[in-house]
Amino acid sequence: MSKNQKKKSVSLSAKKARLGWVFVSPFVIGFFLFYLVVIVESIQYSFMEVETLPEGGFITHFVGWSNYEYMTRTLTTFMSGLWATVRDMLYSLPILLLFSLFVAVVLNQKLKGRALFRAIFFVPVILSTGIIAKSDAANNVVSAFATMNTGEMTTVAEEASAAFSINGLMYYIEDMFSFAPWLLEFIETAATNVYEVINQSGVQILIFLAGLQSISPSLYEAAKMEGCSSWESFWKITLPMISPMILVNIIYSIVDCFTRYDNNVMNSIQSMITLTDYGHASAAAWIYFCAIALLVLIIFGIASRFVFYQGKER
Amino acid sequence: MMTYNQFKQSHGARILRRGTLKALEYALLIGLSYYILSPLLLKIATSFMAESDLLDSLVVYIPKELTLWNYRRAAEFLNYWESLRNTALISLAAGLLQMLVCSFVGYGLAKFKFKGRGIVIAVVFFSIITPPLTYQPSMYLKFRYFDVFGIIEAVTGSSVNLLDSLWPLLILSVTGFAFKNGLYIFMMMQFFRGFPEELEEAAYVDGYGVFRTFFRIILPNSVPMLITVFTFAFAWQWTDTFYTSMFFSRIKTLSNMLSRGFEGMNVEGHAMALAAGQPLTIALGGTYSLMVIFPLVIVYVFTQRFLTQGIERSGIVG
Repeated sequence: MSKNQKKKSVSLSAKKARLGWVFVSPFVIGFFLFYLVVIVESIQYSFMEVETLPEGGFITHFVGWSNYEYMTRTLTTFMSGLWATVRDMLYSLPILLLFSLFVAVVLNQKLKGRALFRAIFFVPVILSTGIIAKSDAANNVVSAFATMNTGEMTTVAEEASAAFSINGLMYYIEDMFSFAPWLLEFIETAATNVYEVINQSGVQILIFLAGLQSISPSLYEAAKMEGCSSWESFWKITLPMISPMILVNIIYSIVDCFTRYDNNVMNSIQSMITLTDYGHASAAAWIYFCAIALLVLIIFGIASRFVFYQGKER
Repeated sequence: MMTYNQFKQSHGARILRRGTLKALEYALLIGLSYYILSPLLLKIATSFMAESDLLDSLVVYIPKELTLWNYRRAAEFLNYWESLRNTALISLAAGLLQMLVCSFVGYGLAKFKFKGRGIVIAVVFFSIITPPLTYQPSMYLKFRYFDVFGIIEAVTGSSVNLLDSLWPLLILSVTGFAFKNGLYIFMMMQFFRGFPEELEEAAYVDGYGVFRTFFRIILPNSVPMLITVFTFAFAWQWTDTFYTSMFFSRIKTLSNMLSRGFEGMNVEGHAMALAAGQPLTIALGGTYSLMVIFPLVIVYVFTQRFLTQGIERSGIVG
């Protein structure tokens, strides 16, 4: 390579680096404009005791690590709730992923009424977040108190889980096959949580569908010409091509498990905020945040090794 | 007589096998659909009931007299049409902006090597992980006394109150910090990383610049992903309470209206106004939430149709 060419390629990569910054600039600006301030403030609060004054406003004074000590040592329910959330998440993650991939593959096929089924599977996306869930919950709580009769949502959930509450069957399985206890517990969680799995997998199904729709049909045609069965092309084409989206769904599912409105730890943090106990709430939020970040980092590290990118090595 | 092996390979057996598979598939899909729709079914049923039916314990799913009274009163009391228009506009703006910005940022992270890229990706992850709840108070204050690094105050003498305008949402959307935008950026980044580079190289050889390539070649080939991001952004803005309750106290949106509910509504024939938890209040609330959900489902079906057409038109990379 001559000197001239080398110089040219260096300036090209420098140019590409600059262009990269141009592309991410909106996000970087947003980071400095909103996120950084918010983060710094929240960290500050976690080291302070915040007292609201009766005439409005509040005073703060520095208390060091005591908020953190309170959350980890004194308030035992917080840490045990945190562990329970982590355990539940680890159990439900594989089930969620398998279920949503399966449904997405089925919905991506040619079948009659596909548009209708897709529309139906979109409904949990609407129902799970935002106002609909809140308005139902509010009405249900009130009516539960008023008539001592649980509202419609819970009734359905109860009915559904009752249909799958299979203690007898579990006992039978335990008797018949000597499965390891963890495997048994795993199966039991899967079976009893069917309703929740369906309701929590809406987003994942849509993400997988988008991934499946992005796979070129010509790949499948070529595989068919070579004599691949559809089972083989699932493992050799669909799975590698969808693997970047599997990673997205893993991360999303973890975060969703931790930040759902019905998560116990989130609720306890929110109630601290409502009680204007900002110091403890911030400390709790940061412990929680670090736990999620650590978990995401570990799982991301493991899962990234298995992801296939069609683009070039970089 | 056919032997079993002959039968297995015969045409009829193949049809039988395929038919059984299809039947299983439909059974599964229909069963799951029932599960998903079951909470809605009762709502749909009660939305057509008159008050006498709601109080009648013999009536569960099929109303004795069909009526649209619930729909009319719900629409009237909570300004349905005005809220629908506002919500549609806000969601459309948020959806389109977030779709564009997130794919833009995601493309930068996927296809360009630059110093600090790892840090930016880490920040994207952090923004996915932090629950919006933790930064609610600071965010509110930020837009109540809005300023860009003190510049606005230096020029005009005071900060700007952006609450009760579209600005907070637009600013958050443009900078990729609106609801779940970290997820969209990550999605687009993952998608673009799996995007074959030959296409871009061919475009560069043809003399296209980076931005022209992005808008003319990359985006048209990413329709399924873009549509999905748009759908999420649109749907979650539509049902959002977090930002709407924080930013719009006077702008009427569907979610604001629904969380206000029907308490205190006066109904003819009632001495007292409606209270929470009463059958009629629940029925009206259910009716209104159906009126919130229904347009969304229609939009979704519409975008799916657009999607299948889009793929045929653009021709896919491979």
